[in-house]
Amino acid sequence: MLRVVALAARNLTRLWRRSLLTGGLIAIGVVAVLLFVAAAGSFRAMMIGQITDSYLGHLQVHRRGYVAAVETLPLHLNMSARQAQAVEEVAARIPELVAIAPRVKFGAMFSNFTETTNIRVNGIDPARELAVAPALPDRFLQGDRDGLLQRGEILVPELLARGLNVKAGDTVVLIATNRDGSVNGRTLTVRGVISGVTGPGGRDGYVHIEDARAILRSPEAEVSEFVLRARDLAAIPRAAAALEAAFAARAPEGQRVPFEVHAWDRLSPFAAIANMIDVMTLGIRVLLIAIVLVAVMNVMIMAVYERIREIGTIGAMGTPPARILGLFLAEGLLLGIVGVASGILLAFGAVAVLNVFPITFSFGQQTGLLLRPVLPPVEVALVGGTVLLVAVLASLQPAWKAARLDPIAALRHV
Amino acid sequence: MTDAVVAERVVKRYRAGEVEVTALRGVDFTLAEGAFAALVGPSGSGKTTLLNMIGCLDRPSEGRLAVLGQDVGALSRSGAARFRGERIGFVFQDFNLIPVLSAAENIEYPLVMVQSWPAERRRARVAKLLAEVGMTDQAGKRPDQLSGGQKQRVAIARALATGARLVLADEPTANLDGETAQRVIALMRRMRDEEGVTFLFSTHDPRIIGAADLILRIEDGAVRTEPAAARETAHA
Repeated sequence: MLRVVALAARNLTRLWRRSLLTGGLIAIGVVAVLLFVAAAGSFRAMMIGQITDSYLGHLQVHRRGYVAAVETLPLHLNMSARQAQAVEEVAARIPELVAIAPRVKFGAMFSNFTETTNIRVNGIDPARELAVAPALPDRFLQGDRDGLLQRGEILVPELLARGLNVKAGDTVVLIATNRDGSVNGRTLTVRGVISGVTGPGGRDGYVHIEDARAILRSPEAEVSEFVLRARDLAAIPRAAAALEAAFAARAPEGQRVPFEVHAWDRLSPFAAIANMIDVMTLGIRVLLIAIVLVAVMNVMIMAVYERIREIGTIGAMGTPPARILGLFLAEGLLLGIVGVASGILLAFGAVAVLNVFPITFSFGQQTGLLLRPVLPPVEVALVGGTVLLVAVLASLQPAWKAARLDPIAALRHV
Repeated sequence: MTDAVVAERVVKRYRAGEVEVTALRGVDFTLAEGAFAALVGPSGSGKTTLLNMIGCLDRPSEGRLAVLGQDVGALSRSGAARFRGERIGFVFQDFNLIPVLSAAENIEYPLVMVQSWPAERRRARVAKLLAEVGMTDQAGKRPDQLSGGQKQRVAIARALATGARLVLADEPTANLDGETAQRVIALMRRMRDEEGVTFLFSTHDPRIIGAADLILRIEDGAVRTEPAAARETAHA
């Protein structure tokens, strides 16, 4: 076998410029794919991290129908205290989950005493919110971020702060209608101004959960949504499945499960961008496969055509067809190996350079984001394996033709 | 002494487009083992067709052709390849050496790709053959660094590498000058004498015809054998 591979390697040196060109073409393809995967992957991971860590969390649990009507922040679809307790009990038993935080959400009027606008308010338990959205303090544009907020304080979204000329330390009023239709208001101090996040949240402010319940005159510790944090992003699907299974198991026979579980990607429009990145990655992979297929097949077809008499000679000498097949497959495989090896080396070099001199970019309202591409070993193995497989497949037809050549016809070939 | 080739009423027909051509019309002859024979005849007389069948590259349409005791018509494609690899050597007019391999590696090729000999045994066999054909000092050179005569000597060594009992040579001296051709013929005769290998040449070269023990004259699809004693008359 090694001798066949050694002979295949020698054969590739016959027209070394052509072999080098083909290997180079494959290498360029590998570099392009790996760089794209590294850059797109790090962009994707960074944006998902931003969205989940600063606002959405990894998972959310609502009462059935809440998310469908979320634009109106329906108070009548809040969970009762008993239901909220049930959710917390279930979450506590799922090992993939590391934190859970309740939110009370409602729509309100926001006034600086001269102007009024509408605001979406998130009533949060600051300590628990930090456990599920640890990057929330990073959104502070003004004010003391330590501990997020206390009772009587509000975090105002940048859009509103700018529009109503509100700054940290100012006094504002929130006025809301509760589920019974009665209106209530409360004066709050602006603890800070926070930036918006990608996706919904441009008009989302934060108050303490007890203030939220007080404004809404809630008779009990109701909850609009629970935000949960999984051990890591990979654990989200397992955690979601475990939650759904546990809720289903607790639901009375014949009744619908009262809760819905949503992973972050079902709540954020960025999921569509993330999916688009995945589709583009797939597209560029297909392009690479096409490059390798065309390049290797072209070279191997030419190699067989140019060596027909030689194939006739070795066939006449008694070389088994399987060994002739193996010889040409080995040539294709070696072309792939040369391309993959050099492509991977170049890609690692380029990624190292990009990490030393990182590219900055803006996304939405976030500026100065640093792109630090990472090449996951799994991706490298996947791209390398795909290229090698395609190189062998591309060689299959020419190699098969060589193995099936009639020595008489081949020796007669001019 | 057994027979290297026995042909009994061998007929070969093939299609050339819409036309069926009968290349051989009931060929009968016997070639004893150890013979040094020349297959002669005008172009298109069926020399190559007969040589291909003897080399197990093709099968007779009718009749029986036995090579080294093996019925050629009974061999499958892979069986024929195996038989060729073990028992038959080929020498070509254009040498047909593998250009990326050295002289030694070309001789070694069938031992690796056809028969999978162990390395030590291969090296010994190649060294012996290189010495026998006088190419030891050229062992590392590639075909493009060798003269025509040297290439043909390497080709002869390659044909004998696996211990072939029958060597078929298609116009082996056609691309060689007179002196070189004589040397190559002498080499093949010596190999026949030393190894007892049967040599059968398809040739127009009077030098080989002159050196042959037996002449198989093929004409109009039939073969007539002429012993060495009759060769001068045959050429007249």
